Amino acid sequence: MSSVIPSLGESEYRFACLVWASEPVASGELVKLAARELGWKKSTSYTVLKNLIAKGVLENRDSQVTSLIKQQQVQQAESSAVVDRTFEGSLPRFVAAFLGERSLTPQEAAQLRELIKNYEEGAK
Amino acid sequence: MTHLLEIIFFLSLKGSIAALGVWLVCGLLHRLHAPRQLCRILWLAVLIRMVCPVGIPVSLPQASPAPLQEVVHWEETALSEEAVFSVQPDTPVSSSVPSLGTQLLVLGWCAGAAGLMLHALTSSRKLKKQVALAYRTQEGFYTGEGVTTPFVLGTFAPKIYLPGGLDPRQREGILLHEQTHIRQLDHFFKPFCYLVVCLHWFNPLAWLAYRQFSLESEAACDEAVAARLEPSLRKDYCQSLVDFALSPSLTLQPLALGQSNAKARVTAILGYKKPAVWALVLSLALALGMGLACFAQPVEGQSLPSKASVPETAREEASVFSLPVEEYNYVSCRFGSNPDNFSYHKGIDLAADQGTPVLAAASGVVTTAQNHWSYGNYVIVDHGNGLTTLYAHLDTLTVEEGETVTAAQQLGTVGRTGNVTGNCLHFEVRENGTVTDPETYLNLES
Repeated sequence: MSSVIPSLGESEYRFACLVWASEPVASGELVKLAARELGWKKSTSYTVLKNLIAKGVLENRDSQVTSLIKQQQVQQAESSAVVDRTFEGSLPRFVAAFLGERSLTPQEAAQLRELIKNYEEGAK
Repeated sequence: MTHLLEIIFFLSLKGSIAALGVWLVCGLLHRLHAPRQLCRILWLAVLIRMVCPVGIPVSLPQASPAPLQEVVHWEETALSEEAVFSVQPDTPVSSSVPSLGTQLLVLGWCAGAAGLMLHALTSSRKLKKQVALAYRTQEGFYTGEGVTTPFVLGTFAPKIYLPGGLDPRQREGILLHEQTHIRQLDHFFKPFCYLVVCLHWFNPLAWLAYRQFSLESEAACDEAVAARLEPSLRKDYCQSLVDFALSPSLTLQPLALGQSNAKARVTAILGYKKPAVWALVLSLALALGMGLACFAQPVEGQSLPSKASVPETAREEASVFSLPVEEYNYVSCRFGSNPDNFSYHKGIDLAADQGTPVLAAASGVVTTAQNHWSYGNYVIVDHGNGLTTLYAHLDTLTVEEGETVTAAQQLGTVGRTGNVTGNCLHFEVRENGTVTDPETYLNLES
C-alpha cells in the first residue's frame, strides 16, 4: 500500500469524495449521487469511474464501488507533491506563501500550535 | 432555392438600412449615457428585421389626399424577374432555366451559410467536450477542469461556468454578470443572431450588427453588475476582467458568452453613473422610434389618376391594349424608379376592390398561372411577336396554363396575394423579355 499514490484531477477527486463519503455504494446509486451533487450525466460518471478504477483508486466488484486508496492518503500525497515541487520541500515557505497577506485568527493560530505540538511529541 | 435567395437579398437590403439607422442612433445613445440595454435591443431588432418578412406599413408624408385604400408594394425587384419568367416553357424570353450565374450564386450562398453553421456547431461541441468534466458547486455554477474563463453555455438549459480559484470578491461580480446574461436570454438570442448572420453572411452590415449586439450585451451585463455591486467591489470586478482578457481564452466564439474588450469595459464600469432622468426619457424615445423605424415598411405615396405623360407617337405606334381592370379606383404606382423606397417598379399598379374581374389585355396564350412569393397568384399571357403581359396579386385565377384567351376575357379577380398590402392589380408588359411602361399600351384617361 506504500506504493505511489496516483494524482487525481479535480473532477476525479470530487467524484472520489462521493465514494469516500458513502462507500460501499452501488454503481447505479453512485451515478444518481453524481447527478445530484455534481450535475453530471450518466456517461460522464461512468467515464470518471472507469478512470479511477484504472488508476487503482476505486474498485467495482459486483456493482458495489469501494475505495482502495483513502481520502487522507490522496490529500497527503497531493500536499507533499505541492511542497516538493513548488517550495523545494520547505514546509515553512509553503505556509508563508499560503498565508500571504492574510493574518491568522486567534482560533486558527491555536489549532496550528496544537498540531505542531502533537507532531513534536510524536517525533520524540 | 432561387426564391429563398431572393427573399434573403430583399431582407438583407431592408436590414442594412435598419443597421445604418441603428448605428447612428446608438452613437447618440452612447453620448447620452443611455442604458446599454437599449442599444442591445436595437441591434437585436436589426437582426430580427433580417429574417422577418413583414413590417409595419408607414405611409410617406407626400402621400396625397385621403387614401381610398392603402396599397403598399413590395417592389418586384429586378431579381425576381428571372425567376418568374424562367418558368414559362416556350416564350421568346431569354433564359428557360436559371442561368449559370444564378446557379453559382445560389451554390456560393449555400456553401457560405452551411460552412458558418458547421463552424459554430463544431466549436460549440469542442467546448462542451472540453468542459464535460466540470462539476456543479453548491452555488449552482460549474467549475473544474477545462474551465479557464467565465462563460454561459447551453441554449435551452444554460449553465454558468466559472474557473476555479477565483477570489470570492471577484467571483460575486462575475457571477452576477453571467446571471444577467441568462436573465436577458442571451444564451438564446446569441445563437439566434448567429443564425441570422449565417443567412446574411455576404452582408458586412449583418456582421456589424452581430458584433455590436454581442458587445452591447456584455456592456448591459457590466452595467447591471456596476449598478448592484458596491463601489469597493467594482475594482475587483474590473481586475478580473483584465485578468481574463490577458489569459489565453478558450475558443469561446461564436456561441458561448465569453468576455472581451477589457479596456472599454473597465472604463465604462468605473465611470458608471445612473443616467439623468431627462437623458433617460430622451434615450427611451429615441430607441423606441428607431426600433419601430427598423420595421417600417415604406408605403408608396398615393397619386391620384393623372394624365399619362406618354408621348402620343409611342402610343400610336403600339397596338393599344384593353384595360386589364375596367373598374379600377386609381393608379397606385406607376412604372419606373421610385425614389421613395429605392425601388424600380416594373409595372403599373391599378388599385381596385377585391373581386373586380381582371381581363386579358389582348388575345394570346396563358403561359403561366401559378403562385409566387412576391407576385402572389399571377398569370402571364403571351400575345406573340415577343409581347407578354403579367397580372399579379390576383385573388383567384380563372384560367389555366396553356389556355387560349381572347382580348378582355377574364383571367381572375383582383386581390392582395403576395407582397402587397392592399387590393390592386400589378400589370407588366414585356417586349422580348424587357419590361416596358404599360402606359404606352393602355388608355388610362379618366
